[in-house]
Amino acid sequence: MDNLPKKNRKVSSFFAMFLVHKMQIGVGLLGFERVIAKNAGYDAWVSILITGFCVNIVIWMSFRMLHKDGNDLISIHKHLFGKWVGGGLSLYFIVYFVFLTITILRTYTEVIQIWLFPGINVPVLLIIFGLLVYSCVAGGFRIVAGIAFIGLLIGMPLLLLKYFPLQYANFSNLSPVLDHSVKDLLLSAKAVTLNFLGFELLLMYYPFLDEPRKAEKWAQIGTIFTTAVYLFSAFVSFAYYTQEELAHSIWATLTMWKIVDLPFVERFEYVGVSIWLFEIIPNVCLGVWAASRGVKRLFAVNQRKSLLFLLFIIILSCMLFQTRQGIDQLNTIVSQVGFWTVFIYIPALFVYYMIVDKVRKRSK
Amino acid sequence: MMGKMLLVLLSFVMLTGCGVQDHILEDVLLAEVVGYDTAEADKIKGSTVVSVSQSGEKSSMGKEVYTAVTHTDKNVRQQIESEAPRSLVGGRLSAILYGEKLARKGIYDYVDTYRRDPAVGRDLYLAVVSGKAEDIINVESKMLKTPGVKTEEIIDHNSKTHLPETSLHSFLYYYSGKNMDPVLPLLEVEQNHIKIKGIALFKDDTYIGKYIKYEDGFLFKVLLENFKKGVYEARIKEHSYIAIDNISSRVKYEIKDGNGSPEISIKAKIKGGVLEARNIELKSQSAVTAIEKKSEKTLEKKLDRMVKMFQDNNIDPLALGDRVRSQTRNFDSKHWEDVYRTVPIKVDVDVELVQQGITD
Repeated sequence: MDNLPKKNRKVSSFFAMFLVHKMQIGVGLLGFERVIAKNAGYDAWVSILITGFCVNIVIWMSFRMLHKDGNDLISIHKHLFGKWVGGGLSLYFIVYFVFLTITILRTYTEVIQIWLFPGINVPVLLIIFGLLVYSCVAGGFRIVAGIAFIGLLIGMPLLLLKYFPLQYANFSNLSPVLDHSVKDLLLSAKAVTLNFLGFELLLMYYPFLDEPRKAEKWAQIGTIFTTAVYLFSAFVSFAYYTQEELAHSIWATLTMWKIVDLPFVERFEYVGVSIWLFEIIPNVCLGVWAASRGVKRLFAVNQRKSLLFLLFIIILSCMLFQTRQGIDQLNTIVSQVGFWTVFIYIPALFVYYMIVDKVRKRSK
Repeated sequence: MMGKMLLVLLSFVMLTGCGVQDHILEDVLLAEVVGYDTAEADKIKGSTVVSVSQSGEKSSMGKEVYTAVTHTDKNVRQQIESEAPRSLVGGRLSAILYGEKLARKGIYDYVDTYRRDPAVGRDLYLAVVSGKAEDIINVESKMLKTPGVKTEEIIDHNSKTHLPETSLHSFLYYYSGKNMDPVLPLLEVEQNHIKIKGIALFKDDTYIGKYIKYEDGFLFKVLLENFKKGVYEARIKEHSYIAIDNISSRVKYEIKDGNGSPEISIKAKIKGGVLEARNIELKSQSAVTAIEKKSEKTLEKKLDRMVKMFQDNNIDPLALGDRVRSQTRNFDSKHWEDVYRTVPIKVDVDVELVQQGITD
């Protein structure tokens, strides 16, 4: 049967909070506002609450399955659908994790290209990224979790920068509250999904959590924290921009850093984008780790070998997306696929798992 | 171990291959103020003050002016490069000026390029120049006795009293927002000094040629936002004036029936001190009350006239439409545009003189 990781390779249960939260806060935070305001306008903050709540429910479902199974998604698939169909579904998840990683990496390199160095040699940059990610992931899951924690620690102070746009804030932009139809709110809630994606990785790293029943609580807290961060950012951006201007701002939060006025830095966004690297690296590490772990479990190959192979594919695919439109499309597609995976497939799997579980118990 | 070291070394070597452009302070010209004017036949004339860092121990910055005439804004920059000894960078740009003639044609295209440019900040000032932007640029380049960019400093400190916030951000905010129009400071050159003439009024991105006088900028600010500074001189009767020092001014908008026939009442409350009272007695409470009443009247009359002027020109620098929207469900902005010119707007001013200085 499957061999579970040893105690000395596990992380404490409260790391679930950082792992879930870190994966959700990434490059999306720099410019999610205009995407979510497309349908529900400035009522979109309600949509953030809706999505956040749904994610809480999906996490609850995932933990119900995982607690029963005791291992990860791949063993759940095998248990429910047998070797071939289950393996196929697991393969789908591996491809999905790879695409998630590509999206994160490519979107961030675009930010570097546009905001810092227009003439930068993207392939070289990506290869350096790849080396960094390889050295982290090769160190094992504990290193990846540690990086997630450091990323959170370094990234959090950036929230204080909201002080500057708040000086220009016009909170009357938000009123009248709930001036949009329920349909608009739900459409926006769907658009928020991309920003919350990443928590489903817990289906892969569950066996690495020490005392998983305690970890569930921390995972929920992590998601609530994410909701709070997005809600706060959305409030500030909505108060700072008019709706019409927001619709044209690709990186609303990043653009707001332009007005940060510190005595020792004239233009803060250069510092901000660089600090943001620490938000990106953990996400890429986690994504690649989950995918390579999946490959290892499915095909029984050495994780380092699969890691190298996957990184190669990811870097190569990142180079394929050259234009803003292409990157935008990538984001949209991954958001769609993620929505179906997280909010349709996982709940369906949950229901099926519960039924199968009941039937099998009875037949015993 | 060896392999890892090699990896680290390799990444250093590779980083240099990333093709990154560097800007070293001594090797660039920092543009401080840029001005645009119309030129003959569809062309625009751009001029800019740059600070040139000088080598040696004394760290004074010299200033130089460059100009160019072309069709597009960014091409101005390229043309300027043709006569500049080093490359020009815009990271420290602090003000962009538009000549009156150009402003009357609409300035959005000239603003948009700065919004698009990640290298330029968002807290820089925009202003209209009565006459030619080039004149201010020339004066700016000669003011070397004190450090800093004069244009920026003048607008900056007046923003606390007689000018509304007019950075690139607020221009874009008011321009892009529905049912509101931006304003910009109007500058002029007087005896080799840069001076604020007033507040230039815009319809969308087009200067309509009218402005609020500098003195009345205070009144406009009273209507627009809560603030805490400034002095206003009110006429009490013939030959007697009173200077009110603003301690705090608060404004409230009351809106009725936003989608039908709207009614707006603006309530402003000014708490002030008396700085100067010519030919006026301030000994008794009743005398103070009488002066409060009188100055309220004067202010209301002026504000009424100002609001009426906005309506007559169909401009909305007070963002009245947006204030109505924020208090109306399912706001119909088309309907608002139709009725805006005829909406009854009542201005109510409440002056309270709480300090009279250290004498009575």
